[in-house]
Amino acid sequence: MQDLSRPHLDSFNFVVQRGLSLAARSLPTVYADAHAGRSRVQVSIASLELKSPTDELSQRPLLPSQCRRSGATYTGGLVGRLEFRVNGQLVESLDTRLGSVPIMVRSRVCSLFGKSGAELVAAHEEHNEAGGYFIVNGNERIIRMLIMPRRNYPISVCRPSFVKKGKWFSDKAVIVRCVTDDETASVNILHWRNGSDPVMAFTYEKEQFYAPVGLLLRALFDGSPAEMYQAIVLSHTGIGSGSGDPSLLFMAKQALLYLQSSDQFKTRQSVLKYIGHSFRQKLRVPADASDLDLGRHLMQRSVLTHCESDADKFYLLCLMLRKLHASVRGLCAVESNDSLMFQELLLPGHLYLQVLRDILYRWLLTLQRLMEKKLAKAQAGNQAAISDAIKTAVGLCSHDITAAMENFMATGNLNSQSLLLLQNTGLVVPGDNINRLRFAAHFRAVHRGAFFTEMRTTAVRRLLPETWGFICPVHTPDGTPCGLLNHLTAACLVVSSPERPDRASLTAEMCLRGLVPLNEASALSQDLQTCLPVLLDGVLCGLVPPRLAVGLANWLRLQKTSPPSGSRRARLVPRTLEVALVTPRGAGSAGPYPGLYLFSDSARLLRPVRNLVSNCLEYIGPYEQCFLGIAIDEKSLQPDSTHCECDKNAIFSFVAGLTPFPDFNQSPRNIYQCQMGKQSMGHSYNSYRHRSDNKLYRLLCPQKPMVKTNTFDKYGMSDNALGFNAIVAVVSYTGYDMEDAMVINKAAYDRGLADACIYKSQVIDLTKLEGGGGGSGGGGRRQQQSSSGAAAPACPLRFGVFGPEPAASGIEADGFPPIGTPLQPGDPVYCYYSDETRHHTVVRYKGDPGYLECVSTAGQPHRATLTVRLPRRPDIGDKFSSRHGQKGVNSLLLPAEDMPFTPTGIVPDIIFNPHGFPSRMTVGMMLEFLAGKSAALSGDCVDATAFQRDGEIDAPLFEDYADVLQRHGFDRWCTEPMYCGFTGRLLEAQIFVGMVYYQRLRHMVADKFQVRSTGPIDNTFRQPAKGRKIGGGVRLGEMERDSLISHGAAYVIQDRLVDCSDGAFVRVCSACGSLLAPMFAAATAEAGADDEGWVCSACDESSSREQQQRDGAGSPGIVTVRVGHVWRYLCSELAGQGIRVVMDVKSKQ
Amino acid sequence: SRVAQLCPAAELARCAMPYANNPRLTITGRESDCIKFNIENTDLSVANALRRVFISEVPTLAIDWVKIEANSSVLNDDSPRDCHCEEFCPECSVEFTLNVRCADDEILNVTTEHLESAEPKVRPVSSRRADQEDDEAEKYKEHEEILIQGAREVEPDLRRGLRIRPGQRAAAHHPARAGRLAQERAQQQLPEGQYEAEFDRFGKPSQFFFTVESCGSLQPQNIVMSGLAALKKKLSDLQTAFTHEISAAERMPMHM
Repeated sequence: MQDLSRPHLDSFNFVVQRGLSLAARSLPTVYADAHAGRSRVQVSIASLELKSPTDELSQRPLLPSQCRRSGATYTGGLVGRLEFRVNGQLVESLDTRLGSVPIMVRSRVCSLFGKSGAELVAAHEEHNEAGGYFIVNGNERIIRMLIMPRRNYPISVCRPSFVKKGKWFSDKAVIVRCVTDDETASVNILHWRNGSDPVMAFTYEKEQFYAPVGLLLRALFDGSPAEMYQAIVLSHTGIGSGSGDPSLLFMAKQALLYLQSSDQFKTRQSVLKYIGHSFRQKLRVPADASDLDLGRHLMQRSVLTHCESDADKFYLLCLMLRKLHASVRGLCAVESNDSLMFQELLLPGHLYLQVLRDILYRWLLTLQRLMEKKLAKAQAGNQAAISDAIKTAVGLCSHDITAAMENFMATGNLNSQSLLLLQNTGLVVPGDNINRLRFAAHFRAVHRGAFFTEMRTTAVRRLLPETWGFICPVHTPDGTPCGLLNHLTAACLVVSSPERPDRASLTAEMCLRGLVPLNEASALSQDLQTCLPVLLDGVLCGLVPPRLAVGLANWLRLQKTSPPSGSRRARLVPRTLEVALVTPRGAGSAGPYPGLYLFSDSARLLRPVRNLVSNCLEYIGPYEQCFLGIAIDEKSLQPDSTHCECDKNAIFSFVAGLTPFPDFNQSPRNIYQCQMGKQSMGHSYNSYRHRSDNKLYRLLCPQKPMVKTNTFDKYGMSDNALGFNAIVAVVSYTGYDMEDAMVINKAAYDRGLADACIYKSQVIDLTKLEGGGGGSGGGGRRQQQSSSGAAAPACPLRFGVFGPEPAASGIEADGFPPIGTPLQPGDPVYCYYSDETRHHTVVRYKGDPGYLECVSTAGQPHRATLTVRLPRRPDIGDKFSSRHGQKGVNSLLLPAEDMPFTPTGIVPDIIFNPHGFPSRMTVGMMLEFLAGKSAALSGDCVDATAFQRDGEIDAPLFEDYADVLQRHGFDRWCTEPMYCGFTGRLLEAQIFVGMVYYQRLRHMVADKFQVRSTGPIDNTFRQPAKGRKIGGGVRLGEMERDSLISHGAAYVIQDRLVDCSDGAFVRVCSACGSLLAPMFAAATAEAGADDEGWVCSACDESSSREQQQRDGAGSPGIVTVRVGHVWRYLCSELAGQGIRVVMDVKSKQ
Repeated sequence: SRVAQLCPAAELARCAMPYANNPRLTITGRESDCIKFNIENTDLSVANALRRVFISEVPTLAIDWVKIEANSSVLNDDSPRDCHCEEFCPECSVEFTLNVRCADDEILNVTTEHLESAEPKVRPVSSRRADQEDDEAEKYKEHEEILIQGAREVEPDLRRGLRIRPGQRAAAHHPARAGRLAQERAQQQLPEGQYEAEFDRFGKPSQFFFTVESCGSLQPQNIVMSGLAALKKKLSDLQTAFTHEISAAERMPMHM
């Protein structure tokens, strides 16, 4: 279980151990001028550190359970060492607490780090608490893993939208997402322009710029144009028309042609100056920096940022040009971002680091502004005044970091200036804990990105063969997020912190095995024309001749899988290295661009397979998997097999692996079960009494399934079982089991079958009430300050009953009813006393009837957590399901004597309708009947793991179970004669009876039923309001109305749409047809007449009797009609737009 | 085996159903928790009525309400409370007191033995066994149910009130776990093409085999006798009601 949240934990630990210091290094230095520009003050963050959470009051380690209980945020201090320099001289370095940031539970800085099971229990956690989440305002929040393009690898893409980018732009481009050591990402796009030279797009502070590729090449390389030309046409890697492809040569010439356009572009220095000069307005650097520095700064920040040296950038850019050319010429295949080959993950820790870095960056900019303001006032030559001014400035803006980080965690929203993500919302999701399965599945979930949910094409949602073994094909929701929200397989690992090989020594070793380093390769020889590039993490190491490439790749793989040698020295080739050798295809078929690609960076997916050569476990990535021969098992080895799967079930996620006999079911049913397994109530915690989640579900008598898979045992799911074994008869019995309904035995219900309850908790903070210390008008910032403990005003409110004043009955001296008190709506639930007004206030209970389960004040006088238990016995309308996507609603609790019974007197717990089987084809469920029954008879659990007897047609699984049944005197195929409970007659058919593990789903009528005769109405429209909480109604919409019309049920429509809705009597002037003009003129009103006294303000028509008599029957004057009130509202709105609505009124005759 | 006349059916035969059969009852086995008998020469409906009555209509004593005043043990006290009395009332409850303190270092098993009952007639279920009806508690100890297993720190101090609920349908604690009504049948698969007997599609069942199992709170023969009494009462009530209806109808003839 603890392995499941590994990617989350490890990536956060990477932040704590290395990421923060890397981020500190990459943050800019801010400066301000003092002494009227004579001295420059610089402030930089030298190092960053996260501190373990501590309790502000007691200075003891703060425990996550305390935060959950009191609705607080689990934060640790972010301490930074600020260095102040004046004119380059270090004046002072100051360790400052920059703010409090949320800490991941069970990470290295968590109070629970390294604790044993017993210690965890003592800290009010589960004994196997895995962590991996944050606690924000008492709620558990999880950073979602997102799919990202694979870092530091140039992908050739074809997007029609590129054509619109500008003149000559084609749809072809090579994109590389560069990620630096501190996980900052930037994207470079090399566009192909038809009939012109390629241009490169790069970003600076979220703004995109284009530059001709020749200019960038010149800015990166010292050599002569001829050397540049040769570097571009270095090798055609064995694809295309052989040596010296003329179009490649032409492309290279054209790319460099731009440099001829001006004398400025002759040398590297002048190009850098030119670039720096052009971008001066856009860059955040001191105004007195030189053009050359600006140019260097831009190249460093925006162009191929993952390469450390300019030479690396230059050679990679040349490679990208060659790849772009090949893809335009159709010599290599266009790659797709939707394939897992070219994807990696955005890990929670990495995102956390990026967000924190971004917040710190903005903070530094604020600091700069403040410093400029303060230093302008500072006395000349006064060192202390400068130092004071800086410290004031730091203090003024420091709480921003706490608030911004907490806001990000609490909402999942990001408002960033520099962070390049496709989405700004939904990055953090609540870890809802319906059961353990649901919670654990959050840690394996991988989302493609919110951007794709709105896309109309289904291409992104498609399950591609590349995902084999990495992404579970079963575990994805149906509906909107289908195929976008995926889950990692149980065996899949994620590289959280990079295990980089030493590049120099690895290159040297590779040179012994055929690698030609770049400095030698530049001497163009015919032999090198077909050489393959060798890329290590997006840096070109050299070229390798095709005949030596296979040997080199094999050597690397052997080194990778070899058992660790005795020496302490770090491995030359790390175990997590991905070695993908792409060899050129024959002419006529465009394959992927050839090369030897090595990846050692983080955020990649890996999975274990067995290497057949070394017979060791090897971790392979999704890229190299496509170029390996992996046999499914020993029996299906092929001549070109290099690897063999460890386990056939390795394609399943943790949740999908719990489904019994999934290989016998129709596939969508397994998908449904993955959803329903996560919705079923279970035993989520052993520490229920220390939990105060908003809503917790609990199945009171959970059982472990008698038919279980090996995943169940592996993850210790019997600690958190989520269902019960039920005796089920497949029979159409009472008629109450139609349409997926199911009948439950009343006696089983009385014995506690599927009994459950809900715990609801709320945190009551008296300081946030009217009259409390926080103040109602104070707003967020004021509360922020008061919670940070800085001079919080004493709250005059506190819980309890003081003095003789009698509080409501049932409230004890502490201000709460005793534990176990039944609570009905309106019962007193807590009482507080105000020191100012000297009055008690008793608050009444709102919500469903329940029992007070727990009151926790944690020693604070004005903050309490109340937990109420709502009993949820199975009711008619509650939802149940087996583990095969067969959900149903309980429709009847049938007394035991009325249930059908077998000759041995066995009465089923549940009756399942046989019509559920034919169209759903859940053969796995039928098998579970058989297996469950045999397990109950023999007392041994049955292993229901998938693919157990694959291909063994002679010895199917069910024969074993049938043998057990026969041995115990039952029918081989699970059927039994049954008698009708009402009449005692033998039912004509043999009934299929067995034992099935059932889940109780969380959808219960008690939480959903809605009743209304009259109630609240909408103020504007006077139609019934909606919403269960406020006692609103259920909408009778167009389709319902249509069906009533088609039935001719006119009075029902009248009743629903007028009488019970917004029916109103309105006056209409029959002369001008206006609904709005008739006015009540009291002067002319005669006593006793209802319709009297109305005058039309538009045409002087009146409702008086005389006028009606004068005009005769033809004009009824102002009349009263019954229409919906919204109609009048619409007329008013239209009148406001200058549109007159005329009603044609005739008296009925 | 004993042969006895089945009272309600025979009575029925005499007064209401002159053409009814004369059923014969044969008791084939009797154990402490189980009684087996069969009835011949009666209708299926009678046999099924008996089965249903044994399951649902036998008056029982059930724990309906447990009040725990102080619980220092590790167990949750999850007590349903749907009693309409304010508190305990002696009319409807029997008080059991559990007051045990573990003084040694040994593990102490707190069992039903430690429950002290205020009413000597009412004792926890598991201490009562049919063949030891009148014996004293000494023999029972090994059959006690373990309520709490406590180490030294735990001081279970529970006072329990158990409310007797006389009526029917205290289904959570059925004395009769299952009524069996079946032709005893060898549970074996016959070879293909063989059958036990010629199929008679117009045949009517005439012999019914009962196995009444008890969970221990009532003796099986008591279940049978109480069930019969309940059925008998129902029938006589029905007959009385019929008589009233008939006489009422005679007094007020219906007008068209």
